[in-house]
Amino acid sequence: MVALEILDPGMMTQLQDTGRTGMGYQGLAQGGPMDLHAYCWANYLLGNRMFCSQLEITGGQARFLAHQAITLALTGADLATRVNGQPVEGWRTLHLDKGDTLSFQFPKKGLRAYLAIPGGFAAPTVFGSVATVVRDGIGGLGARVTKEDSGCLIRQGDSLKTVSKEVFKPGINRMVPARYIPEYAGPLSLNLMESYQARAFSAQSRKSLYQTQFTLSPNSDRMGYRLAGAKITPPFSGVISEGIALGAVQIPENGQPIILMRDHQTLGGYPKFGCVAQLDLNRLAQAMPGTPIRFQPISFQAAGQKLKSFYSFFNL
Amino acid sequence: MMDIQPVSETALIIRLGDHIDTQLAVKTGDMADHIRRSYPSELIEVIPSYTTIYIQYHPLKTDFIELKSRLQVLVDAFFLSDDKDDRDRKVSKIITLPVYYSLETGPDLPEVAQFHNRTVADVIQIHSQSTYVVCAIGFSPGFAFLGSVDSAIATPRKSEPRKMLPAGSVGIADQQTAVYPSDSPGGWQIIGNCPVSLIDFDKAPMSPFSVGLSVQFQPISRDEFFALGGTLWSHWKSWIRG
Repeated sequence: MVALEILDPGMMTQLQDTGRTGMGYQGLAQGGPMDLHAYCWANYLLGNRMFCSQLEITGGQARFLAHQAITLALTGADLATRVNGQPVEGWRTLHLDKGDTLSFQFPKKGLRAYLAIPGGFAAPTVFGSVATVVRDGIGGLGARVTKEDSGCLIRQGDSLKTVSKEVFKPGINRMVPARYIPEYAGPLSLNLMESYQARAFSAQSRKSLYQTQFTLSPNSDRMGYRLAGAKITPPFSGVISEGIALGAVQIPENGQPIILMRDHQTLGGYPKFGCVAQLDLNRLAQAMPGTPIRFQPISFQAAGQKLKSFYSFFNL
Repeated sequence: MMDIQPVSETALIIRLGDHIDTQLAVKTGDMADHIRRSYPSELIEVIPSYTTIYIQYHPLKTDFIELKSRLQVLVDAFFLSDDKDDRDRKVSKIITLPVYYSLETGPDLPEVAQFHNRTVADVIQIHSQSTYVVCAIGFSPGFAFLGSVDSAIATPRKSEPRKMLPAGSVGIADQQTAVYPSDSPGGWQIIGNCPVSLIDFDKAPMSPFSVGLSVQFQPISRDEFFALGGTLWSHWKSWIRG
């Protein structure tokens, strides 16, 4: 059943689920939602399992047409969403009638919005997931395409079908409690676990990493977020290529840190100072270029406890 | 040497050495297979590469302390039992890949030959004589880093990477060689093309490679290249001149 037709995908709209796991040893990136916090709440509001696929709408300027009455959950960035031209609030469920137009304008706060429907969108899975990874040419509606046309992105004219037959649930009217709705504007302080080659960095480099106020570079994407600021001198130019964790902080020779995000490559040979706590990456994914960013140390235990609570709450 | 360290809330890395050695890559690949089989539900990723095994685990199913002690036992037992049987088993598995070495599929053959003051025929002979070991898989899906290229033909990457290379391109970068499984940008010296498809997302496994496997290249003629489904790429010239 067709639920939504894409009148305009906007800057970038992708199909995402919790990611394509277990294929890293063959070189496949995991993908997955850039803001897992907002994604999980959208599925939670509808009573969906967490792997139910959603649309990740980046940068707004998108328009969708409802082909049937349908219930949605909308979380993440405030992209000045409207239904038939009338403003609607995010972080809650809403209902569209057949023929309604859902539109997103320019971002007001944050960058990426998440749109869930009951049971998720139907798409062929590749290795158990529909997550879009453009660089690998995998995911989205066509399971697999050539890289040239970046065809795994959602395009104008695409029809999004539903997994579930019942997608109109007028009885569901829920919103996320205000204390769980993040403030997407303003400077960021990222919790950092020291690992990988951290001990090889000089005391001066380490100090400078924690004391510098970096800014987020516009040259950032789903693979990596680049920071600009004081030069952090790496202890060596490269290491033998090794597996990279989500959130790893690479320090290339130019001394400008790169934080590895959901579409990060599986292996890398740059020195790494450690990893940003995974829950902090969600907020980072919503930051606009130019956002001031600092690092502060956190223990593995403290970061691990927070992540475990998150996983337990959402049953990940 | 063996060292297990946490890298994030959900990942750790096992370090088995500190220099590149194809024998160690065989061991690393075998051990990663063994670990993957031993803990299927707790572990999300097990990624061997040269001297390390990266492991991502589910934070509600295990934790670093528990996993470290279990891995320690597993790795120790593996090293003790290993030595003969396992290595023989792995070495006996050799993948042979057909390669059409030619100027029309390998535009950097003259550059590699010139770099070493050798003939193009020398380069082809030396490249196809060695047996290589898959040391890591990454960069792009199914891209296998093979070591070690004979120092007689080992050549640095091109100063300017190409914006696009056709799938099947066989390249050299210093002491490593590889086949690009899909069309991709790349800076390696291209010396030939392998017409056999090396990646299929509909199949499991999606690639014939795994870390530790041995690989040989078999030179083939132009006719054999076409018979195996190879196609010539018309864009080389514009890239070369450009």
